[in-house]
Amino acid sequence: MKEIALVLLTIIIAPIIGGILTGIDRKITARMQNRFGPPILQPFYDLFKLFSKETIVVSSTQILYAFLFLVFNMVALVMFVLKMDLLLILFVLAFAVTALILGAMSTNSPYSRIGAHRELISVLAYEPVLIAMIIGIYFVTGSFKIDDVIKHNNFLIFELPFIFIAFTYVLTIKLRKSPFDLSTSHHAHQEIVKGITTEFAGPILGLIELGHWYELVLLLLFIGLFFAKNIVVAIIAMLLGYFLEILIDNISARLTWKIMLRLTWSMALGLALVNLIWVYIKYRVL
Amino acid sequence: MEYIYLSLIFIPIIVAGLIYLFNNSTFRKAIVFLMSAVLVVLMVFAILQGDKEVKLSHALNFALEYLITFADYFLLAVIFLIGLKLKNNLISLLAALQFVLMFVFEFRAGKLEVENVFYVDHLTFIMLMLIDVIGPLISIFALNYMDEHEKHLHLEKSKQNIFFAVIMLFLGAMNGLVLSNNILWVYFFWEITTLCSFLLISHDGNEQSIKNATRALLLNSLGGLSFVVGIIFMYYKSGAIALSEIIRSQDSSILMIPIAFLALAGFTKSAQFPFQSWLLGAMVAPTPVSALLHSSTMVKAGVYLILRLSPVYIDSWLSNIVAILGAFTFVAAALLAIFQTNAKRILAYSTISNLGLIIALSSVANVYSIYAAALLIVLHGVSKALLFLCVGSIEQGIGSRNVEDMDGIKYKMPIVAFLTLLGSVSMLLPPFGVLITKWIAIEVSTQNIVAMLEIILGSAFTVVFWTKFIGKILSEGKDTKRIEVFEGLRHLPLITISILVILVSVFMTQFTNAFVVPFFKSSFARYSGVSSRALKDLYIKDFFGFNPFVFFGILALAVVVGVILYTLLRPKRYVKVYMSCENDDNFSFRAEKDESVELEFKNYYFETLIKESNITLISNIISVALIAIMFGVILK
Repeated sequence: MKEIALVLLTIIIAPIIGGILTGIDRKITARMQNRFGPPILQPFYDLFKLFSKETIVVSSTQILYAFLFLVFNMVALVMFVLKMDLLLILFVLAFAVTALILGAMSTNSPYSRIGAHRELISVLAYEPVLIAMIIGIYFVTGSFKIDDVIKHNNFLIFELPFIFIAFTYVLTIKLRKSPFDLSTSHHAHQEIVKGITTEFAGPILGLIELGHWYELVLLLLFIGLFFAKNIVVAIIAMLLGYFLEILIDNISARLTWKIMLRLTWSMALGLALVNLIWVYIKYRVL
Repeated sequence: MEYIYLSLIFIPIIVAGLIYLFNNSTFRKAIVFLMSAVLVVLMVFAILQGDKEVKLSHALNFALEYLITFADYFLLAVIFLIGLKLKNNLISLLAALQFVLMFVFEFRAGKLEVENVFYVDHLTFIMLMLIDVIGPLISIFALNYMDEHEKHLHLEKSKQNIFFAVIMLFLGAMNGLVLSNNILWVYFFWEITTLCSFLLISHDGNEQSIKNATRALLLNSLGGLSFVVGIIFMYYKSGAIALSEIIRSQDSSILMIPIAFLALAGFTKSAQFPFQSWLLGAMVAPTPVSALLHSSTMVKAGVYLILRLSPVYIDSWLSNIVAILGAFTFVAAALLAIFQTNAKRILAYSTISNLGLIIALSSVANVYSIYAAALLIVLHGVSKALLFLCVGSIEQGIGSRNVEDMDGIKYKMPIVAFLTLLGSVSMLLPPFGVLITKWIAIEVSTQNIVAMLEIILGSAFTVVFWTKFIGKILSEGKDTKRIEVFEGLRHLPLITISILVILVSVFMTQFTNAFVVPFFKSSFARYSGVSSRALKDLYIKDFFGFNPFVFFGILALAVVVGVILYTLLRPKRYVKVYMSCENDDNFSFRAEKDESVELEFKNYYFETLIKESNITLISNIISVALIAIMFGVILK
């Protein structure tokens, strides 16, 4: 019974937090660019407007994919809140992205197809790092279950500093922020229009937007995992981490996918591996 | 009851002879159907008998012993002659070497009789189910497919009698391979599958198919030689030539050398790197052949042997290196699959990749990894059979096996497209089982950090190539005219296999408890106190909290919610795609002077980043090095 209440609470509260964070993002971004910026609640107004619009589509299957994107993100977040297996959460998260990619590929639109393939390249870039992160956590805490990870008696960040850096690195890709906002940019009309979301409009785009908010909350919770010993520290770390992403977003220009792939596979994966090997030796060999 | 096992082997072989003699289409169809039914019934009877070691009457055993010994030399002589005919001296040399080694060995060792002729346990059952359910379904599909195929080739005289005879022989040999206890018999059936695969790949008789068949024969002869050497070492190290004795052997350290040779033979048969090229070449053959080779026969023989022997070497240095080798094939083949435009090549690389994962799982010392390995053999078998047959149908329908030509296939061939989708989704997404085995692989391989890293990378590559493939099947195309008509002989086997695909995933835990757990209990008795645990302790409720019923339930619920949502959000208006407002329809845009230019968008294949041939070369070098390391560690 308690679990059902928790699940419902998560499903209701997460998008509110996600929306507010997005609003804060827009405000901070505006201030960094010497603009006044929209009100904090602007994302909600946007979302309501999207849902009040007429449903227009290129292909009716798009609705399904947008829905799946939302549902998989929701399921992943709920699994996190229920403290389930980290690896399975990651897989579910990967399927959310898969649904979005398939949605973009289902139309014959050149822009959305380019966006879809760029998203696919992003998956290729961040997926190994994310799994490496989970394995690192496993070596330190001896469990894949969030339940046990939270009970660990130390801050994970002390054991996994490099993995944390690698994670914040790929977080930029996962949040689709500059310099890695290849598949879709959230800053107006750019080189590939809106990439993966080009062909989505109205309520269907609204579903995707909502999915993004769940995704955002989940990814920030992953940051919190590294500081899980103390809840206050964890929240501060999550907010700081988010601010850092906004900062990077505003001070960098977009890179090409080749550079992204090379950088993540050498730098981020390299850092993660170094960390992984030392915790392996520490906890498994010694 | 030994007659059940004998009939499982010899009925298909006799039927093969009949099909070969009577080149008549109606007769062929009737006898294929009849034999399919007989095989399924026999298989069920064999399973109902339970675990057994079967003795034959002295006279029968004696006769069979002579028959197989004689047939074995005859077979090697045939391969030798084929080598001569193909002007490939290496094949002849390998066959001659096997012949001489075998002859000297049998001459010197004297009586190599094994009292219990058949060794039947739950792993055998798993393999029998795969061979005797999927195999006949593929043959039935082939009845229709080959008629069409020969129409394309404009043959004067049908060669279908040879084709179906070889397939039947193949199924009989596979049954023999998984039933035999005497490793010399296993070797004999192993060689028959080599010969059968050669005959099937070269079926069309054109230059390319003969070339690829030759390569398959060469690489598999190499494996055959390794098998013979393994047997000889086995005999002189331990005096054992019965699988049952080998598995129960107490001292695994002296068995390491023979096991390493047998594992190498398994690698060649399962097309692991660096031997992968033969399986890729095998796709020039008619599609039912690919489906057969990739799902229920041939390549599964290799992983069967490795899983069969894993109780002997598990938890040793050898198992660590074999796990690394298997995981390496998993990642390298998945990477290469990203570069492919040819649908059959994508499937072939995916098979190689999955076989690598099975080998890695068989070699990781963990209860769950053994469960997952056995499970993946079945899950992969059914899904891949479905996918190959579907791609073959698409190829006959649209005249191309290139993924780029499959735009709008969901309109042109809706049934097959939907089944292809089901097959590929079952290889990638939850709640289907293949994903669960990948998950188990990552979680249990944490003790072998190299293998684990390989599996992590391979897992990311897998997502990429499957998503591209699925995206194409679901994409819109300009041409939406339906060209598919329902043909019972073609579509019913496909639908049956797809039902099996869903069933094995839904009843994954029940299947594991019924078949894999008893196999684990009986074979791994020696391994970390398994024997002292009751069967009940080894049963599983779910895989790390993954309960297929719950997840399939959620899936069903999602479908219902999705339908409701769809009716709520029902599109009011369809629009054209966005092309900067320069398009008349969804497939072309206005260029210079308002001329209409057809839009072309291809999937990314990353050719600009790195060349496919370079990856193949590097992977081959690394895998050869790993094999060298494997033998270096073992040979003292």
